[in-house]
Amino acid sequence: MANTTTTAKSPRPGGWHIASRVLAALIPGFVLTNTAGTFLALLMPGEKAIGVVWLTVLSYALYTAIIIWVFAVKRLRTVWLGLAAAIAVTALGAWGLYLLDSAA
Amino acid sequence: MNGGFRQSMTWLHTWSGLVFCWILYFMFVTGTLGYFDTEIDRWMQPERPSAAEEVPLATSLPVAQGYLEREAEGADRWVLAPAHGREELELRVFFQMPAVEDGEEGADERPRRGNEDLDLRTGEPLAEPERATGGGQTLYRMHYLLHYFPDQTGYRLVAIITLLMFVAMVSGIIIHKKIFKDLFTLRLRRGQRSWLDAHNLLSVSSLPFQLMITYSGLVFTVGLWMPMIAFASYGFDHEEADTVLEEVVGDIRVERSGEAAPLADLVAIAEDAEREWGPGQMRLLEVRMPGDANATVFASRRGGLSALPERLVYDGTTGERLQSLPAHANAPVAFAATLVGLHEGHFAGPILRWLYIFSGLLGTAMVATGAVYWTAKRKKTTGKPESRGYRFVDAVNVGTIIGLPVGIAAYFLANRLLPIGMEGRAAWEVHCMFIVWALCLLYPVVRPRAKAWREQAWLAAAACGAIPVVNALTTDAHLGNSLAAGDWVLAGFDLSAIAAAAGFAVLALTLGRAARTPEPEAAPLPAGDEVTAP
Repeated sequence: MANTTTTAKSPRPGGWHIASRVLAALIPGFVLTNTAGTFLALLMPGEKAIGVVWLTVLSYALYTAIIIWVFAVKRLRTVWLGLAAAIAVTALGAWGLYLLDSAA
Repeated sequence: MNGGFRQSMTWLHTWSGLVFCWILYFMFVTGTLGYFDTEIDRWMQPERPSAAEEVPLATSLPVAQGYLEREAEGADRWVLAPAHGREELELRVFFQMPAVEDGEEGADERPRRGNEDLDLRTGEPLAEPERATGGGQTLYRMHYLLHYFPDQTGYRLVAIITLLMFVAMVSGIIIHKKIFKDLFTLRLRRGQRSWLDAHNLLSVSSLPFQLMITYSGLVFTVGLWMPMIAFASYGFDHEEADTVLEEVVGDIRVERSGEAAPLADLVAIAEDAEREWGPGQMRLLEVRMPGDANATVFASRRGGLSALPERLVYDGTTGERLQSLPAHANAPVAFAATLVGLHEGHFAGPILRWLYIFSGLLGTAMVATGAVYWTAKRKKTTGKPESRGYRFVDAVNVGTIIGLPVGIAAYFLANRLLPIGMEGRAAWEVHCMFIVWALCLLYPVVRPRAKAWREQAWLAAAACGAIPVVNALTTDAHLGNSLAAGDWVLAGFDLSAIAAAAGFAVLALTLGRAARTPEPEAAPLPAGDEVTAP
C-alpha cells in the first residue's frame, strides 16, 4: 500500500510517546473538558442555566475534540504545554466570569 | 490535512476501536436484543397469559392506591402506572420512602423503595412465575451494566467504552476520503480488502444511527462523569446547582408541610387528564408527598419521541388542576431528552422496531468487521510468524463474534431446560450464557483458528436452530401452536432463531469455501483509491 509506507512522524506506534498521549488525554484532557466547559457555559449569552445545560450535554463532544487534538498534534511538548495553558486560561476565565456573575 | 494527521487519526481509530471492541460488540448485541425486551420476556415466560387485560382507570387506580396506602404510607413519592400494550404489561406501582439516617426513629424494617406489578383481583403483587427467569430485561440491562459488575461500576465502565467508540467514529470519519463512494463499494473475495470494504459499507450506510446511538448513550451518563461543569458554574454549591438544574429541566420541588391531609380523588384527576389529551393518553400518575397538605399529583402523557413527557400538575388535596408543564422547558433539555428518547425507542411501532434491530445489527457487524480487519491486515502484510498480539486478537474474535451468540442461545435454551422451581434459576440462566461464552473463548486456543471459526459458526447455527426444537419439546408455546393462533410475538421469536441459525450456517459454508480456495493477492488498486490502513 503505497501511501502507508510514509514514516509516521506522530504518534509513533509503541513507546512512551503513546503512553504519554494516552495519559494526557485521560487526565489533563478531562480536566480541560471541565474547565473549558465551565468557561464556555458562563460565557454563553442568555440565561446562565441554559448555557450550563448545553455545555453539560455537549461535554462529551468537547472531550472528544480534545482527545482528537491530543493525538493529532505532532510534538509531545506541544500537547502538554498546550493542555496546561488551556486549562490555566479557561479556569481563570471561568473564575472571573463566576465572580462577575455573583457580583451582578 | 497532511499525511501525518491522517496517519495519527488512523492510529487513533484503530486503537480506540480495537481496545474494547469485544465489550462494544457485547453492548451492541445485547442492546439490539433489548429493543425486543418485552417480546423476549414473553417467550421466556410461556405460561404467562398473553396480555394483561386493559381495564378502565376507575378499576385499576384504586387497586394501586390501596396497595400503596397499605405498604407505603408516608412516602415521598408514589407512581401508579396502569397496564398498556407492550410498554406496561401489568398494573405497576412504585414508591420511595423519605431518606432516614441510621438509627433514627422510623428506620423500621419496611423497604425504602419498591416497584411491583399488581394482580388486579387480589390487589397484591403478582406471584413470581414458577419458571423463574431474568427474561429480556436482564439481557437488555447487560448492555449498560455489564451484569457481573456492581451497577455503578458497570455503568461507569460502559460510559468510558462508549466515549472510545465515539472517538473511533469521529476519527473514522476524518480518515475517510470518499464517504459517498464507499456506499457502493464491496469487493468480495479479496482478502483484507473485502473486510475493509465491508467495514466501510456497514459504517457509512448506518452512520447517522451509529452516531445517534453512541452520543445518546453518553448523554445518559453526563450526571455520572460530567457533573463538574454545573457545580463549578454555581461556585461548587451543590444545593444551588441542584435547585437550578431541577428548575431548568422543568421540574417542581414539593416540600413536606408536616400537616396531614387526605389525598384527592386520583381517578377524577386521571379522567381530567384524559379529557385534556384523549382517552388512553395518560401514561402514569406520580404523587409527591401523599397524605401531606402539600401533596401534588403529576399526570404524564403517553407517547412522543422524547424521554420527557408532557405533564399536568394537580393539587393533591383538592384535585384542582394547577398548571401544564411542557415536555421541554428549553432547547438543551429538548436536545438531550430527544436523544435519550431516540436511544430508548419506546415510541417505535413494529416496523420502526425492526428498523432499530436492523440498524443495531449493522452496528454489531461494523464492530465485528473492524476487529476482523485488524487481523486480516496483519496476516497479509507482515509475512513473519504470527505475533502474540495477532494470535490473541484472532482467538478472542472467534470466541466473541461467534461465541457470544452461542452463549445467548444457551441463555434461551437454559430457560427451557433448567428444572422448574430450581434454586437460583434466573441467575443460572445467565451463568449458562457466560459459561458457554467462556468455553467458546477457550475453543480457538485448542483448535487451529481457521477451523475454529468454521466449527464455531456451525455450533452457533446448531444452537440457534435448537431453540425452536427444544421449545417444542418442552412447552406448548411452539411454532405449531403460535402460528396457528397468530401469536406473532412467540412465533416471531422462534422464526428469528431459525433465521439466525440459517445466517450462521451460510457463514460456516462461506468460511469452508474460503478455506478451500487460496486467498488471491490483493489486486493493486488505482492510485488515490486507498484508505490509509493502519
